[in-house]
Amino acid sequence: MRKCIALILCLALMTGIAACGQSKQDAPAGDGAKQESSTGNESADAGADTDAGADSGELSGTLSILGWYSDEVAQGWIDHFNSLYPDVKVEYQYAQAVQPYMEKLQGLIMSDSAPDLILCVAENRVELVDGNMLMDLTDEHVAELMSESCKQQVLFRDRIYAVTVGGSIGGLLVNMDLWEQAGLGEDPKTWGELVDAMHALEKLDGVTPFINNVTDATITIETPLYGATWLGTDSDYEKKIENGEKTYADYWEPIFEITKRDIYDSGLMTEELAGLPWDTALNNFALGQVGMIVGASWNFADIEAINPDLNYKIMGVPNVDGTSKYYLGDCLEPSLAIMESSENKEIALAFLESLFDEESLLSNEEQVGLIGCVDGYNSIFSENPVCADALVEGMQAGHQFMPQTYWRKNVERMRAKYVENVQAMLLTGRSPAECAADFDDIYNAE
Amino acid sequence: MKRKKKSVLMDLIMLPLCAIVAYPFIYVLMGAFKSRGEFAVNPYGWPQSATIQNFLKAFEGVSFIRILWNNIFITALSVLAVTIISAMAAYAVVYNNCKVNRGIRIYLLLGFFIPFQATLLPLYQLYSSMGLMDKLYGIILLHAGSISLPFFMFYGSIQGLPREYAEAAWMDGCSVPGTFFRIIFPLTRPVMITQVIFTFFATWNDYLAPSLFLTSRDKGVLILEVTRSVSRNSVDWGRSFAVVTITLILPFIFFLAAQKYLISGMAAGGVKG
Amino acid sequence: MKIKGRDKIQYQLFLLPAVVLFTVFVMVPLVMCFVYSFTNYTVGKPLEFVGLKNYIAALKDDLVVDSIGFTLLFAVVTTVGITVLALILAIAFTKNCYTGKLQRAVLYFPSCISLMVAGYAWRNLMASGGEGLINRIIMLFGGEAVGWLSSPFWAKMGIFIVALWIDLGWCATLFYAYIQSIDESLYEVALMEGANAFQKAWYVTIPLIWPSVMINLTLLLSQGLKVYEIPQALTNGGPMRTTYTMTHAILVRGITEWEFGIASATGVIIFLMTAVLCAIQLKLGEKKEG
Repeated sequence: MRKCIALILCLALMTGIAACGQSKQDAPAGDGAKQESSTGNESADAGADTDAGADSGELSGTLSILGWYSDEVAQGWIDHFNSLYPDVKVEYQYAQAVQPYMEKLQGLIMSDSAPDLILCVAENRVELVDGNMLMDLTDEHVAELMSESCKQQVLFRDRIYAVTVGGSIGGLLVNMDLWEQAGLGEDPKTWGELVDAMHALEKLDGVTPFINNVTDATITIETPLYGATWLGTDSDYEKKIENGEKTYADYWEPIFEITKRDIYDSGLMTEELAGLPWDTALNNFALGQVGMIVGASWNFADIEAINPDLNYKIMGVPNVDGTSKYYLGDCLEPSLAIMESSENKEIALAFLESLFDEESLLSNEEQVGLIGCVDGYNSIFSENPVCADALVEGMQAGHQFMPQTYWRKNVERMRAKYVENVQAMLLTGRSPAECAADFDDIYNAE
Repeated sequence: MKRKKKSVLMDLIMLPLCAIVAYPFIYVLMGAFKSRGEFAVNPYGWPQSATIQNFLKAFEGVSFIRILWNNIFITALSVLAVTIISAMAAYAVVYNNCKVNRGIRIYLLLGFFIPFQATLLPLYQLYSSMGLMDKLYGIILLHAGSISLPFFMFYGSIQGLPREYAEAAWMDGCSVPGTFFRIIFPLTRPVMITQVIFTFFATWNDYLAPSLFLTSRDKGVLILEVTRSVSRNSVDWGRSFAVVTITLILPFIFFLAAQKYLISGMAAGGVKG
Repeated sequence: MKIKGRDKIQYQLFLLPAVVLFTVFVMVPLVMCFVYSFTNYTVGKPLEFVGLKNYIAALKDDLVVDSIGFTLLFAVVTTVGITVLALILAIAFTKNCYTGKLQRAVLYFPSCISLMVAGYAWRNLMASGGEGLINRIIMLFGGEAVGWLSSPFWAKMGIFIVALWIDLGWCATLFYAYIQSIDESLYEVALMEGANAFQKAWYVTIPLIWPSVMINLTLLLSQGLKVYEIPQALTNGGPMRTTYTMTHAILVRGITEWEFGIASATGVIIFLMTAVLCAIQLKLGEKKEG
C-alpha cells in the first residue's frame, strides 16, 4: 500500500517535470487541461442542458470569460446571450479588480490556458497588444456597432482591440442641499469660482467642504482639471509629447501648482482627510456631512443604498479661465477583447455583439450604473437629475478624461506615481515641479 | 501538587485586554447584521435593526453548502496529508541519520525562506501542464508540499524522544513502519496538535492559492466569496463581513475543541529542552 | 544500534512523499523563478538571457529598495516585539485566576482570522480624525487624533499593531504550554533562594523554554520577511510608498507591470535575505543556549 502511494507520487513527479519542460513549445498541453476542466464542470452541472446543438446554423460550444464584473452583471449578459444562442455554455470566471485580476490573467496566459474573452484595459493593454495576443477587431462588424465616442477612446495605435458599450461619468459629487445652504447658485464657471464655492461650504457648521480621493487610482480632482486645462484647448497634446515637443512636466506642473495652492495649502484638503479610508469618505458624503467629493456613476448604487434621499449631482471641473469644463471617467466598459489564441472566435464575436442589445445594456445600468453609450439607445440615466448634465456635457461631448487611457507606456508605473505624488504634495509638501518631472522619468525609462 | 490560590487581580488586568483584542471580531460580527445604511451611520455600535439580508445576498446564485464543503474537504485532507507526510519524513531523517538525510533535512527547511508570491508564475505553468487547474486536489497537493514548518516541528519532537522507545520496539520485532505508526507517531502528540492547529488555520484561510488555481465559482472556497463584495470602486462591508462570519464559525468550534488538547497535550508530553 | 540495509530502504521510502511533493510544488517553481531572474521573460518576446541585469534593475528600483527597508523593519520589530510581549503574557497566563481559559481562547483567536480580513477590519477602526474608533477612544482620554493611514510613522505603527494583534495570542499560548511542562519543584528551589518574580522568569522559565523561543523567533522572522496581506489590506503600501513590502513589490513589478525578470530577481533576493537572516538568528540563538 505504502509503496503503491510512493510509486504513484513518483510517476506524478516524473510526468510533472516532463510536462513542465514541454509547456512552452507545446500549446495543446494547456488546452488539454482546459478541456478537461470544462468537461468536469458540465458533469458537475447535472441538470444543465449542455447537449451539443445539432442545428447547423446555430452556434454551440463553450465560451470562457475572465472578468472583474460582479456575477450579477455577468449573469445579465449571459442570460441575454443564451436567449439568442441557447446551445452555448458560457463560463464566467471572476477575479477581483485590478491586481488580483491581472495576476490571474497573466498566470492563465503564461500557462497557455487563457480564456476566450478577457478585459483589455489601460493596465494591461500595452503588454497584450505588444505580445500580439489580442484579435484585431478593427474590421469586424462588432466595431461598427460602437458609438463614435466609444471608438475614439478604445482606439489604440489606430486599431481596435476591445469592445465597449459605455462607461462611467464622474467629476465632483456635490450635495445640493448644502450647496444651497451655503448660498451658492449656478455651477461654477471657472476654477476660481469652484474654489470659492468650497470655501463657502467650509463656513457651514459641521460640514467638510471637500474630500479629494488621494487613496487610490487617478480619481482625483487633478484629473478633470488637467482635462479641462489641456484637452479642452489642445487635443493633440499627447502627440506633442511623443514627438518630444513637450514634456509631461510642461503639462502637469501647472496643474499640480494650482491644486497645491488652492486645495492643499489653503487647508481645504487636510492630512486628516487623507487618512480616511475612501469608503468612509463616501459614507460621510452620502450621510450629508460632506459638501463635495470626487466620484462618479459607480458610486450611485452605494449612495442609494446608504441614503436614498440625498440630493446631489455631478459637476464638472472648469479650467482657470472658464473656457472649458471636463469630467472624470471614460467610455471603456466593459472593454472585452478576444484572445488571439481562442478557438471560439465566432462565438466570442457573437457574444460581443449581444452586448449592444438593449437587454444587456439595461442590465449594466441597473446593476452597476455602467452607462450605455450606444447609438439609438436611450440611457435610463438621461432622465436622472444626478447626472443628466454630466451626460450631455461630458460623456456625449467626449469631455471626460482618465489619464491611463492616454498614457502609452509604463501605464501602471505612471498611475502608481501619480497617486504617490498627489499624496506627497499633501503630506510632505513635495514641490509640484518634482512631482510633474517624475512622469517624464517614468515615461522615458526603458 | 497543591493548587495555587486564585487571584482576582489577574482577571482585572486581563479582561480589559481581552475585550480590546476581541473587539475587531465583534465589529465584524455586528457588521454582518447591519444594512448598508446602518453601517454608514453606526459602524461600531450594536446593530439597531438586525438584518440577515447580507447573508442571503452573499450566497445568491451559488450553493453555499457546496462551497462550505469544498473548504472543509480541502482543509481536512490538507491537514491529514501534511501531518502524516511531514511526520514520516521527520522520523526517517532522525532514525536514519546518514549524510544524505542530513542534506535532505536542510533541503526541506529551505521552504521557510521562499516567498510564495515569487513562484506564482512558475506554479501556474506547472499547474496548467499537469492538469491541476480548477481541481480541489490541486490545492491540497500544494499544501501537502509546503511541509517545512511541520517537518521542522516534528523533527524537533521526534529527536527529543528517548531512543529507547524505538529500540525496545525493534527488539520486539516491530518493523520500521510499525515502530513509527505504533510508537513514535502517537508520542509526538503535543507537537502534532500544535501543528494541526497551524495547518488548519493556514489552509482554511488561504486566499491566494484558491484565487489563482480554482477558476469556477462553485469550486471556490469561502474566503473567495469575501472578495466578491469588494469591487473596484465600492465595498459592501455588510456582505463581506457576513461571509467572514461564516468562515469564522468552524474554526471557532475547532479551536474550542482543540484548545484543551493543545495545552494538556503539551504539558503531558513534556518538552525536552 | 545499527540499521539494516532493508530498513534503510524503508526509511527512505518514508521520506519519499515529502521530498517528491516538496520538490514538485516548492522547489521546481523556485528553480524556475531563479532561471527567469536571469532572463527578459515576458509575453510575446523570445526568451533571452540577460545576465545580472534584472538584479541590478531591482536594486536600483526605488520601490524595491524602499520595500526592503520597511520589510526588514517590520520583521525585526514584530519578531522581537511579539516574542517579548508573548513571554510576558505567557507568564501572566500561569497566574491562577478565574477566567484563564476564556482569556487564552480570546487572545488566541485573532490568529484564526484571515490576514486580509483582519487588515480590512482594522482599516476602518484606524480611520483618521474622529472617524475611526481608535481615535475616538484616544480623544475620549484627551489625546490627539492620530493619522493612522496618512502619516508614514503611524501607518507603520498601525501595521505593527495589527501584526501584534494577530500573532501575540498564539505565541503566548505556545509558550504557556511549554511553561506548563516545567517541573514545579524548580520554582520552589528558586523561591527558597529568594528569587523575585522577574528573577524566576529570567533564570528558570526562559532558559527552560528557550528551544521553543528559538522556534518562534525563526518562524516570526521568516514570516515577517514575507509579510504582504496586512499592509496591503491596511494601507495598500501608502501613504506615498512608505509601507510597501518586498512581496508587495514583487507583485507590483511582476504582476501589474509584467516585468517577470525583475520580479523573479526580487524573489530570489528575498529568498537569500531570509535564509541569511534566519541562519544568523539561529547562530545567535545557539550561543545563548550554550
